[in-house]
Amino acid sequence: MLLLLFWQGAIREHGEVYGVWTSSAITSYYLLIAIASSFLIVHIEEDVAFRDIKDGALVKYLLRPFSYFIVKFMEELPWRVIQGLLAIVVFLFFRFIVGIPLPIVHRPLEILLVSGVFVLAFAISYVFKMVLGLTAFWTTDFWGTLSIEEFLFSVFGGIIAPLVLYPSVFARIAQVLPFAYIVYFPVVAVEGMLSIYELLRVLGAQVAWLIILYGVYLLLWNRGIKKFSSVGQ
Amino acid sequence: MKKYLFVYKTLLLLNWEALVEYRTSFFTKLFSSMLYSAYHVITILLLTSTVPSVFGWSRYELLLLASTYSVFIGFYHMIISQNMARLAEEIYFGRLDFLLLKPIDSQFSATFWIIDFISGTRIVVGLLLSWYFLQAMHLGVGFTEVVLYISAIALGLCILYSIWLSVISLTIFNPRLSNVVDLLFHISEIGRYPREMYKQVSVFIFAILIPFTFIMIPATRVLLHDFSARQALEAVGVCAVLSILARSIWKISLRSYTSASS
Repeated sequence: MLLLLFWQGAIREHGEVYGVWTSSAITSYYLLIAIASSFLIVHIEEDVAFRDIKDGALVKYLLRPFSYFIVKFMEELPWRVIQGLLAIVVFLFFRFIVGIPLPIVHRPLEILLVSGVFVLAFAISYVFKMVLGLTAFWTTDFWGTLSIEEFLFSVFGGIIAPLVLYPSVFARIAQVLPFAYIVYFPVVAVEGMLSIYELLRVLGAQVAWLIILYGVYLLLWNRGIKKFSSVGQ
Repeated sequence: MKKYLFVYKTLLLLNWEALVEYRTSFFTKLFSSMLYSAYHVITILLLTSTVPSVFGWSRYELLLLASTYSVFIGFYHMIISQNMARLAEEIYFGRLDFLLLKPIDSQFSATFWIIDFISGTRIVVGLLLSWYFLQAMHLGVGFTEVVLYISAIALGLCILYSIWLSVISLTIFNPRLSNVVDLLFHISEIGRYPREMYKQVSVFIFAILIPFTFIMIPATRVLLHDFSARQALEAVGVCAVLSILARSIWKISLRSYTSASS
């Protein structure tokens, strides 16, 4: 809300500088960021770090004949589905009742590619948060790690502003890191701001990040599980 | 007074020991605190990367406001905010008795128990950044400005403390509202931006936001050599009124407190 107020003032005073980012475009952007964040950003890391690793609840998962990675995914999925349904309701409310213009892609090929961007964004978010949670094997108290991640996500995830309005150095760093591929690119993709070529490039980057993060996950899991100990009767 | 200084000295030692208990955690917290010190400045850097001024504030003035916010919020998180979060929790779980039974002032034990030394990093980084931006603007800072700056920060802390205490005291009447702390954390960020920005919202909302704009702007105005006696009086007045109000609300609310077992 504060960022939106800031942008409204800045655009009113220096509208010509921002090109396509008019007052209504920036309002739509922040609204879509808020909506997309609600169902694309997974919140499994605190559960993994505090309940499973710190408090020792991981034991019960280790005794089950299922992969920890899959079980946690199944635990998280219903929350995201519910949030997603609520997000659709919110979207429809702002689009048709409040009347805020929220442009979305409508050509079949774009819809298909954008759907892929969303699915991969969710997958990256999940694996990334699992990796983050597993760092608790080494840190014991997890709050510091969590704060670092929040900072990086805010700055490089397009939460502060659309990446195209960033200074070029920041924008380039953000395009290399995984954070923008979780919320920013899905939002600009659904708004129709990416060409087919750019959509394919985003999909490629998302697949690459997914593979890297899953590799890191396996590495941390295999090493961390050897450090884990729990007590009980 | 001597008793309270002794108690506070003991609390300082205990909190320090708790902080260094986990080494890796200590360093990740330190690093994240350093990042967050720069966060507000980076935000303004990104927001103003293509424009020279917004709301009548130049880019460097906005950056100075952001770095002063780091100093201010560093102090606030170090000595106050965590206590408030704990207070809301104690009320919710009906454990406030433990604080009330101590042979010291209940407001002191409820709101000054935790000291988060890590937030000191924000103060240091914020001061260094402020100094840098002042140099960039060719603004000197003398003894008078330093004294006024410290006073303005103290007044801001007093105002924010009073607002938080008043709101959290009211949760005694309805403990389920204990998550109001999250809301307060977000609302406290209002001070990061110029007061002129909030004139875009409706008069009703602007009136609610006014006290929050007093917490930060005076300290920045001091550094910009743009601080008048009238502004000082306004800040002192707001601080005095809110302090008295907060103390009264706390005392009145406590009369209605019932623990989990009563």
